[in-house]
Amino acid sequence: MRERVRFALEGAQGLERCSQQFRTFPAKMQEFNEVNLLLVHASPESSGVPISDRDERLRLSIHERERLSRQGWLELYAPSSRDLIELAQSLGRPHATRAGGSIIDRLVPTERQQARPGTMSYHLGFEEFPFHTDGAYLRIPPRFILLRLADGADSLRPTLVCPFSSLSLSNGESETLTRDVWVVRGSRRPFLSPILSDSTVHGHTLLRFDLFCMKPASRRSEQSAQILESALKKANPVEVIWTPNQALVLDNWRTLHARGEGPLDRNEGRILERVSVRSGG
Amino acid sequence: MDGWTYDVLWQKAKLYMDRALSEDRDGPLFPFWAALALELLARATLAKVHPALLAEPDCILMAFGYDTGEKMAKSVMAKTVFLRCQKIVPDFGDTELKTSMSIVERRNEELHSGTLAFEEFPTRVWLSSFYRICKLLLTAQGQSLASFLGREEADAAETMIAASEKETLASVQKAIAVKKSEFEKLESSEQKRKHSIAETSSREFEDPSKRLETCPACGGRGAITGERVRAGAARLEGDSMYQDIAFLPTKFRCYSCDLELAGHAFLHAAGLGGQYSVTESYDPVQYYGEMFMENMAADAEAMYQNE
Repeated sequence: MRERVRFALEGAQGLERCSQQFRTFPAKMQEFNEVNLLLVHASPESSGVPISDRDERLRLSIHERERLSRQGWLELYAPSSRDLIELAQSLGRPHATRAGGSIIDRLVPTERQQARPGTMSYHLGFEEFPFHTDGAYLRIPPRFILLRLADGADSLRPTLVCPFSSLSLSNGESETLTRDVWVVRGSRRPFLSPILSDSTVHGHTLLRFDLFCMKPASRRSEQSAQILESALKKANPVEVIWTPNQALVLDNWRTLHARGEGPLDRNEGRILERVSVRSGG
Repeated sequence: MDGWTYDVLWQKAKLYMDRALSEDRDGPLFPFWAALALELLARATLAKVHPALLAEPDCILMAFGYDTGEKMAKSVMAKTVFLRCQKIVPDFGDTELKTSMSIVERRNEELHSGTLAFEEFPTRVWLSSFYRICKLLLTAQGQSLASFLGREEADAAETMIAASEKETLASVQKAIAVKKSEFEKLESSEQKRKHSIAETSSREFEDPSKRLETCPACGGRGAITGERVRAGAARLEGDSMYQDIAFLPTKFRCYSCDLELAGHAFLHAAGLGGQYSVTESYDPVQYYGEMFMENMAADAEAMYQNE
């Protein structure tokens, strides 16, 4: 409701633009969130006003939303952690990845011995991280993952982004990824899921892949691992080089990401902020 | 109650089928895992409609996600599952129910007795029927044999189903040819007399699902009977209530040449397999009176259970 009141105060220009698209005042919050997307934030260059100082909350523009929808990932300008959270809020419901934890995770390269069990650092330490989706251990993994280089941090390690649609898979191979069943561990109770599920969330095909919490449920299912790994070897991922104030939005239901190569002695300066977002308003 | 959601049941049915398919086809574990997969597939079919269809009456709230304090969610028995599938899944008739239950009973025998129930259970006895039933359940869920078995096994399953249908067709064609030949050997006057008797007998035969049909062997009058699939809404026309009841044809009898076909697959092969409707008429007082009495009986039962 607070949002709806804010909407009413956005000003004549915003309302006019909204009314062009929506003839009536939105009755439901869901619709309202769609309307929000029309309240485009200007880029800092064009407005000359730092986003964090403005009244408006940072949101994706329609153009950006379309690009995210089309390519499965998006690079954005986010000069503060608050901006990252606001962007996350405009996409859905940000949530902590651990009970009682912060909405923002700080991802720091960690030696194996010091890493928490179950994390990728526990298995790989400073090494590259293989392609994966985040929160694969959850029945419904986060819809979006937002990453941002933390203030004062720097990184020579890129993040590699690979939309599922960019993989060269035949229909038969996609069928196998949908059919083969995997055991997913890491939550309260293990459960079964294919890599590509069209029955977990109605109306969506959901990509789930993390070899540290998933294993084929039967020998027959091993072929789906081979299919995906072989396709990833041939893939041409996007390399995101981290710069200050830069954020990356990943559609986690259809895009894989990985930690790229980099010099080990610079690891300690690489701090990424991460926000996980549940789908829906 | 996560265990009753469609997705988890569907994934587990696939896993159990994978386990079956990785076993020796002539060994006991292939049908054992397949039997478990069949039940999960049937449960998934109900869950696709709503998980409450899997809940024992005192666990209904759990199916809607309410914590009732019960530790274990009690699921309905396999027989109830398949009986419900019979109402929900198109073309899932008595034959399919009997076949499914015979597989489930064998599984029970294996698990609850000292008998080796799957030791002498060759694939020729059950596998094509099993795949045909799976296909019906899968279609009702919007899935396919390929999404259940994988492409290669699904192709083999389709071939087996087609062969079984071909076998059924051949046996039906033979039965029709025999009756036709017998009938054609009769004098013309005798043929006419039999046709005439058939007209009367078929009219006099009473069954709520009766539908008159022309015999594919002799051209005389026969009757189809079937299993009730669903009832349409009752409507008032003039002084009477009418209701269309849909039936799946499962039996045909010709009153002229005595051709008899039993089982939907056989009627389908004879070109008599389409579902049909019979309009029932009621006196409004009788219709609402019966409903009233049924409601009273249900209320009385509920009150009894509440005490």
